[in-house]
Amino acid sequence: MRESLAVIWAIGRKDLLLETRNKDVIVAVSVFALLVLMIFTFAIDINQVNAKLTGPGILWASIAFAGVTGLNRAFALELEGNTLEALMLAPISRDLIYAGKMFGNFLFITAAQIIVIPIFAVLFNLAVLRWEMLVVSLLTTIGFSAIGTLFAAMTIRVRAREVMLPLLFLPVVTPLIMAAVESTSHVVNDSSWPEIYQWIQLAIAFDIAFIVISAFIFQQILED
Amino acid sequence: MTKVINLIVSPIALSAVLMGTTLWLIFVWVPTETNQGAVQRILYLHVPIAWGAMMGIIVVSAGSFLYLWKKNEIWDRLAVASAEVGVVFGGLALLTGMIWAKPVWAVWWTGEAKLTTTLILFFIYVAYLMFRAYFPPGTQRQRLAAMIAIIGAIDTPIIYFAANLWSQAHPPLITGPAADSESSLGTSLGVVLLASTVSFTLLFILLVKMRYEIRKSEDEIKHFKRNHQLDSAVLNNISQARGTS
Amino acid sequence: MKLFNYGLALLIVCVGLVVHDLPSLVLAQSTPLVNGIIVGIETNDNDQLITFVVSDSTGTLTTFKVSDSTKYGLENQAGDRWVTSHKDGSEEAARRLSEHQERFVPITVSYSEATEDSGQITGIATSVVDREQGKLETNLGYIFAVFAITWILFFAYIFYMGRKQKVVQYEITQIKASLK
Repeated sequence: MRESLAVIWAIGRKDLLLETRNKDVIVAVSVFALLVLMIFTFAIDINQVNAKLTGPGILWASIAFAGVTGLNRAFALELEGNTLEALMLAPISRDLIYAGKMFGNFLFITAAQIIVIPIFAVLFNLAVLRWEMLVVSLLTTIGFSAIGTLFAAMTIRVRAREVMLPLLFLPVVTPLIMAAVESTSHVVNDSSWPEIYQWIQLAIAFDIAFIVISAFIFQQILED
Repeated sequence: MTKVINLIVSPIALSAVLMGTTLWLIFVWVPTETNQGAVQRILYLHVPIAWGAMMGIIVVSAGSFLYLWKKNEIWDRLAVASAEVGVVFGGLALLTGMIWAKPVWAVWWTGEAKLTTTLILFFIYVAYLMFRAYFPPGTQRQRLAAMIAIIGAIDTPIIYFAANLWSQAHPPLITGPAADSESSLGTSLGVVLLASTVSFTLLFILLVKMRYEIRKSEDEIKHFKRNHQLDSAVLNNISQARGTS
Repeated sequence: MKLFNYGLALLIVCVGLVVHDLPSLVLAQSTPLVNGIIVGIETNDNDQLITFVVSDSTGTLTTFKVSDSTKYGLENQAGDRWVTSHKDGSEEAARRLSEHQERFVPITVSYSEATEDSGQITGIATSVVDREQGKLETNLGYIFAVFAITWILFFAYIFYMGRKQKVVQYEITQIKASLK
């Protein structure tokens, strides 16, 4: 158990170390998300009345789109350096590679959210910085990175990879986005915990289902 | 003579006859529903088509599962054939549903759970087919595609649950002319729906079978070409070796 | 080739049926019906509908009693349709019907348990709806669209498969030729 955690941590740390050197993914993801937010503030004239109505949807749409670009980028880096083969040659089981890569992606998307969500709160004038939001964003990010890592690994060899990943990723994560949007709008509307909780439950179910499935099938993806 | 008999009892002829009977039932036999009026006849087409789309998903996921388990090409061919036919049925179910909804619900589209689920699933299986088209051929493509199909199948109940919860939070706009009306037809509605479902199921099976067979021939040609090239390459090598010795 | 024969047969059957049976489609009805305008309404002390009288185009009067299971599908002047059963909306039903009476709006009543007493027909209304005729005409376009789209898409798909099959056939003949 401790060894597996060490492996996961090592892979995640490797990605993070790479990231601190060239800052490819986190900057790209956060700037992209902020751009989407900005376009929406022009597309929809945001004011005190409609901010609560439209804000949560816009926030998660921008994070989802930016997340896909980030996932694309993260695996492109591995591909450019041919490091995925090296990872597969390492004497560790494939589901640990999956867990490690997922951990790395989780860190990227979380980092991007740490930048984006406060700016969203300012732009839309919404009080999202509450502990419930932490739960929502944590669960959504886990789901995004679980599915995203799986599909990113699948689409590595696909022609037009940049298009294929969002086409696979977005419809599958729709329930999770629904859960994130709904619970965020409960958060900004100061709803009670039970109301938020029914959506949190959905997100938990989604995360568990896809982490289990991914662990099962990731082994087969990297096989030749 | 035997040719004629074969044609008469062939599934294609059977399907044509059934489809004709269904159309007769829809347009002539069944009375007009009083609340929705003539548009209600769209449902005799829409419901069986949607059922066909659902069958498509079931067959795709079953075929994909069996392929991953048994590694037999048959299952992969079945999966891709029914995915294609399923996407055609699914797209049609969405279109016919929208055209029905406009006069009855007064809107083309609304956030109702079944609609949302169908739309998302349609996109998942379109992505499945595109993935197959873009991935370099080989067993890895078949394996990965099978996984995507299974992920889609597992996602289905979650999507439905989410869409349902979502439509409870945002009650969909279903306030059109005959939104809450119950059917005035009773059993005759069931009879037509049953007949229509049977004929569309048969059409679904036929289309899948045709697609499957084309796929099979394509695969066989590919295998043959590969083996044949290999054979000629081997023969060339042998003759070259003989020439030098 | 088989595919096209099949497709053609279906197309002919489909077009033939639609053309031949369009009139009966419009006229097809299920239960005994009366089309006409309302000439009288009776309500109880709570303003709930009890009976109403309909006059058809020949001037024949029919009296309808209503029961809890009577269904209404009535539009107001703006065209918004109100659909409910008598149990849930007996006052609104009386209001709507008297409005229909004032505007001389034709309605269709389907009924059961008709009794005839010295030329006066009395029945229990099962559904009271705005006359279907107009709606049928306006909505036929939707049915046409659905059937057209459905068959066009199916034929397009069959055509696509036919082309694939042609390619396969061509390759097979090529291989056969190369083997000889």
